[in-house]
Amino acid sequence: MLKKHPTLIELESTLKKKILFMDGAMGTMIQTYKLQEIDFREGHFDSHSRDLKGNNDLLVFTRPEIIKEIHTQYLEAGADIIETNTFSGTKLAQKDYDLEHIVYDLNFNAAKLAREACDDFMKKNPDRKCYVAGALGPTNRTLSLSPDVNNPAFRAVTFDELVENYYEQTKALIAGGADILLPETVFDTLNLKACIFAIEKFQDDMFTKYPLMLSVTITDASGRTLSGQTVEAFWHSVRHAKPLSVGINCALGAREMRPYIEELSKIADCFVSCYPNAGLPNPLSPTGYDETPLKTAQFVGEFADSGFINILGGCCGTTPPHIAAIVKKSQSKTPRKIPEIAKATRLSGLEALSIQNSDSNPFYMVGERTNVTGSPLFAKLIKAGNFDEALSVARQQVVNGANIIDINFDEGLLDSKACMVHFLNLVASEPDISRVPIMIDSSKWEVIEAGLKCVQGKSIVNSISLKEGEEQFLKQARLAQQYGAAVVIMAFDEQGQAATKDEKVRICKRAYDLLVEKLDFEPNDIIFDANILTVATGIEEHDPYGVNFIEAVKELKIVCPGALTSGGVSNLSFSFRGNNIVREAIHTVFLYHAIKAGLDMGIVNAGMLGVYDEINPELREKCEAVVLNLHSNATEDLLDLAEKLKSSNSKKEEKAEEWRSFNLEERISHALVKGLDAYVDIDTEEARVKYDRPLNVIEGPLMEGMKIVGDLFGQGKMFLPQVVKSARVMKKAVAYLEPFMEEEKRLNAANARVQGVFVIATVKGDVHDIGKNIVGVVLACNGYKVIDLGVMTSCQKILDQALEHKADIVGLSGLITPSLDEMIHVAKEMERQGFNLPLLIGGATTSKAHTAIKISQHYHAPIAHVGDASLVIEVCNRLLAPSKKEAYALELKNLYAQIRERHLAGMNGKSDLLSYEEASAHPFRTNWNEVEIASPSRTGIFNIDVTLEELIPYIDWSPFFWTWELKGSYPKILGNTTYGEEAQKLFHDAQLLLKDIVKNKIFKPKVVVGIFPAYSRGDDVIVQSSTDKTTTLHFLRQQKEKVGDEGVYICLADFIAPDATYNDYIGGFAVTAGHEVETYAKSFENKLDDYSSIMVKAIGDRLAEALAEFTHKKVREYFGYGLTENLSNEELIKEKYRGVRPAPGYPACPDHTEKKILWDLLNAEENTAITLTENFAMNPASSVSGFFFNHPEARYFNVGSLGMDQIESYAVRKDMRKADIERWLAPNLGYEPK
Amino acid sequence: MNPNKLEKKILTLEDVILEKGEEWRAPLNYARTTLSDKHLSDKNLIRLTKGRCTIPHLELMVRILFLDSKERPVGISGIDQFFYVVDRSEFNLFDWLEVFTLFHNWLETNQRKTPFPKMLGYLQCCEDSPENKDINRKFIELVQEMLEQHGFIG
Repeated sequence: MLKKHPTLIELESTLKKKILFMDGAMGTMIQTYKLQEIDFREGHFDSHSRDLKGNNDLLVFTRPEIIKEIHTQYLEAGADIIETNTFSGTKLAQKDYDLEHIVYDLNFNAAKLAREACDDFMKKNPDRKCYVAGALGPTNRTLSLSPDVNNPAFRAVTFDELVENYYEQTKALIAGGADILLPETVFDTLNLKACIFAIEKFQDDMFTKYPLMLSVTITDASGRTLSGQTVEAFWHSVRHAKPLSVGINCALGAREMRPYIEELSKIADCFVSCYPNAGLPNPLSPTGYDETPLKTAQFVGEFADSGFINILGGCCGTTPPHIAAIVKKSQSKTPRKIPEIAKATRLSGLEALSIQNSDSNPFYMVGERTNVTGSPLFAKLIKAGNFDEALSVARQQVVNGANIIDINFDEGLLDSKACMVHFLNLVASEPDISRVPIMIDSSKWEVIEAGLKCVQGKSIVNSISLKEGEEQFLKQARLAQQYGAAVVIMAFDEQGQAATKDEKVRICKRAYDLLVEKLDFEPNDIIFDANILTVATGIEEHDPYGVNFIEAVKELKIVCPGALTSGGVSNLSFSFRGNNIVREAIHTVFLYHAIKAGLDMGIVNAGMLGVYDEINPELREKCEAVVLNLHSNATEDLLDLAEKLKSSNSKKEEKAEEWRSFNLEERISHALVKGLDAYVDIDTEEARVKYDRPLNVIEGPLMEGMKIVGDLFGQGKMFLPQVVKSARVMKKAVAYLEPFMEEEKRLNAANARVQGVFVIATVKGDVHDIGKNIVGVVLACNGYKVIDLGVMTSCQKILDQALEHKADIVGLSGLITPSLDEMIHVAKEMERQGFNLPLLIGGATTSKAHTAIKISQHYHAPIAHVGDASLVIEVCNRLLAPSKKEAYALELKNLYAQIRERHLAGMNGKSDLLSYEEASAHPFRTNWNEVEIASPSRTGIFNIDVTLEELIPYIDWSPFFWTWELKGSYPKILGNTTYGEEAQKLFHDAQLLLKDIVKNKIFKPKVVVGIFPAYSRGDDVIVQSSTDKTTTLHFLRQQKEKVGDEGVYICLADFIAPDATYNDYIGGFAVTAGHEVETYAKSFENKLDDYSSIMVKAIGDRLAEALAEFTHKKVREYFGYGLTENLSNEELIKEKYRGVRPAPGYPACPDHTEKKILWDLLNAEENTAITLTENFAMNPASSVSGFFFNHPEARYFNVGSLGMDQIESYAVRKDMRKADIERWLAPNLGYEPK
Repeated sequence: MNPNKLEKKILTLEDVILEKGEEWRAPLNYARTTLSDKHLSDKNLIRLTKGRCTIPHLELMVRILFLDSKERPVGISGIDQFFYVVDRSEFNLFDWLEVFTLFHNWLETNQRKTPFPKMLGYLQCCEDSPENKDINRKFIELVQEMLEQHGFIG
């Protein structure tokens, strides 16, 4: 144990008696001297190559008299502790100025200067005792956060670098005369942990414990540090430093700081400090802060009155008058008394977890699925490098209730250390996972140590033991202590693993005594794992393993006070693997008894634990006999029962069938809400008999059930995939009743009453219909009769069908931009032909604004834009309800008029565009003589054969979920707290369907690729499409004025060499999942299964996109550079490779008409059977096309607004009328066309 | 359109004052004394004043960037983030200054505060919204609508 420095003893004593005062801001004071560049150089850095103004720490060399004067002013104001001017006194911080080499001298001089100021002052004021606190700033790097948003696992600094930096600073500060070490303004706890580690190392080297003050910064009203921890979590992370004080400074004024100081004062078992800013920043004030000294003093004075405080001072914006006012107000107040804090194991992630050692202690679950040795799924993901999906395993455990998560990468083929670091860094960027403490699990100490350097919270080391003797054990334990971690101690010693109760207790007690006596280890930070070994193996000596553990736990709680107990529960039932019912029961029974004996935590599958009382009594009895080793036949009996259980239905299935015992109406409602169609015919028939008429069944229990579905959907408690499944049940029930209704109609000419008739279609020129189909289903299951006219429907057909079916509403859908014009056309025709029906507009490219500005003025009847399927019922009901429709029509009219007016008012002074000429003068430039121009191994037009199986790894699943209106990205969405469960079901269904599609080769993907020599000419690209023929591709250039550093105005042609002699190439492609997508979807529609039909189309779209990704990969390989890229599937999906494949009609080349040129170039129709509609939509819809650019710096961009000068030039280049170009590029026009 | 935009060389703060008027001296001084070069270099300050930027726009941006520099002392500076986003947006600098003003006023009216990156993120989301897909929308109009309809959680 270290010897306390006399100053530490003195301070501990003084702080019990009175409040001590610190100084105020240094920077604010320096600012008042209005220093110039020369002040930071003179006499020391005159010829330094970098600007030094603003590097305030240098003033201890260049203007020491100023710094000393400031120190003295604060001492005269009443400060007992002054801080050295060393906030940026680390190599990392000084690197910005190329001054790493001065760091030791800087800290030494700064401490010496403060010491002199202190000593001079005390000489003149012998009644005052003043101290120098060596300030250690947070540096300009963060260990818990990545500076690169695209690479969350990246860190700009390592733990070891920070330790090295802080060690040097600490050493120099103490050598210069600092009394106290003060790491302050901590915004990342892991940085502070590195600082503490360095200080502990220094103290060990000096055999002395110095006074240590810690001060954290709470960045805003969220009450968290910049790295996301709460105050309590922060304290748990750093209390191992056993500081003299802990406190809060900077970022907030005293008023805003109050709740956090109050919290800290309740939980800290050391003194508490507070030095707030002078209020919140106000740039209008000369110092940046405008809180008066009196105000600040009043606020912090109240802290003292409330008993929160032992040390007070000021941070940014505070001045000597502030400190004088604070001293005057609080010097006679009673200091905070350190409270008695209940003993507990205090852990943390972003949030705190306290485990009190008492009888009423709940059991804490340690999630075990992020362990490559225990979870095959996790192991598979890690081996495939799929860390993103592996994160969802961690997330799932937290969702399932794990209080801590165990992470283990001990697998022979893995680089365990690298995996641990990478995964923990990723976990740190996921607040929903990193909110819980981490258990770093490995049999290799180096892996554990690497993990400890990545975790800001207080974690648990799993595990160390006496296996390799006391010396090694104590060394590892000491390091764990210095990293601020609790430890799991396995009941192992030099002789091996403990199996009996006595061995377990003996080894654990020996370890406990060593830790407490030799290292002053906090008993609450010790967790014993007394080895849960496998029972029921058939070997007699294994039979008492369960009960031995339970009894050992009981005794350990007595002989090792404060320590916790834990164990890996799955081991116990290993002999029953494959029989989850028995395993779950054994675990439940075991935990029931072990927890009663005092087991505090266990490593378990948080999603696989039962309730003791709910276990089948016979099974429970047999498990109990095995676990407690009650008789010699216990294993045999359980094995017999296990066999029987294996062959019977599972527990879950039994439970799932319970609903069949409900009454008829409840069963129908249950089937609709849960989307279960297995009994739909039986229940509907029973209802038909009971309710007399089929219509009564529809209007009665079926509509009642759908009303519940509608309500739940409206309240956000059900999600679209569930609603579509409900609709499938409804449709099947109605289909069952239809023949009876037909018969009834024939007999009495009655007609079923419906909510309204809705005619819906995807407009001419467009083939996309997933959204339209979803709207159709939602309407149908809310009682509307839906007449779905399919895709590419001409205007006249829509209007004729509306008349024929006596439609109440017409709905138009479209995905591609040209469909918007067709919608305008339909609206005009409805007006011309005298329609009065409401018109609904929907689809991915439509918007309220477009509907208001471009469509609504052409048709007098109500027009409504519906952006989301969940809104359509509300809109339709309001459009048709006699009591609401007039008011709603007026509301829509007014709304759209308002949008139009605003739009027209905003048209003045539209975008600042450069002239086309000027934009062209600032292209993306390439030194074509130096850039590497890739040559392909294959040219011309060719097909690529691919199987569906090959495409699966290339699928980007996120858009699949968006189709179903579940917002989020895959795989995170699977753990979403609101709809993660539904996303999982949907994903499961998609996997089953995909498996079927792949296995039976249902889709027939086709690919055509063309690779051609090419060169750019202005913004065109001339393609040598065959030996005697060239084709011209036309691209557009950005014109919106840029402000940033780059200042370039990009056109895709910039990425192709300007001369044929450079031998550059361009590529083109068209791929499709095949016409079979439509046919297969139709087969489900015919079976009234819209859910599967929509699912098929959504999967078709994903496969088409995957096909494009796969094709691009192949093409990169043909060009050579793709052979060495070595990217994971995830990185491929994120397009982290060289080259781009922009598609005509999308932001980098927004002109859809270029698709026709591409089609001719590739002979795409013949090669892939993809046709283009009159609006250049690809048919089948599950198709993708585009160009390949290979330039190393090629990138995606948005062409954005275009000037009339470029449009005119473009029209000439394409030999088209300007008005036609304006129509195709309408969304990009930076002017109003005539 | 301004055909001579790139040719006009404004290299110093004095050039800005010459170009835009003497009344710009005080706000430029205020910017210069409030933010260090690290958080707003002269070059970026000059860029910020380009085009139709007004004095209230500049003052507001300086205030926002100042607060940002206090909240995020490390990493890419607020102004660099801002310009990066503006250059990849279809809207110009003036549009962005306008919407920042609107959003800031909305927050103040609602007695709310939010960090600069969140403000930037929200405004980017407004630009990416389906309401801005097919038609030339005015940015301020879009943001106004988003705030009215969806508010802001952050």
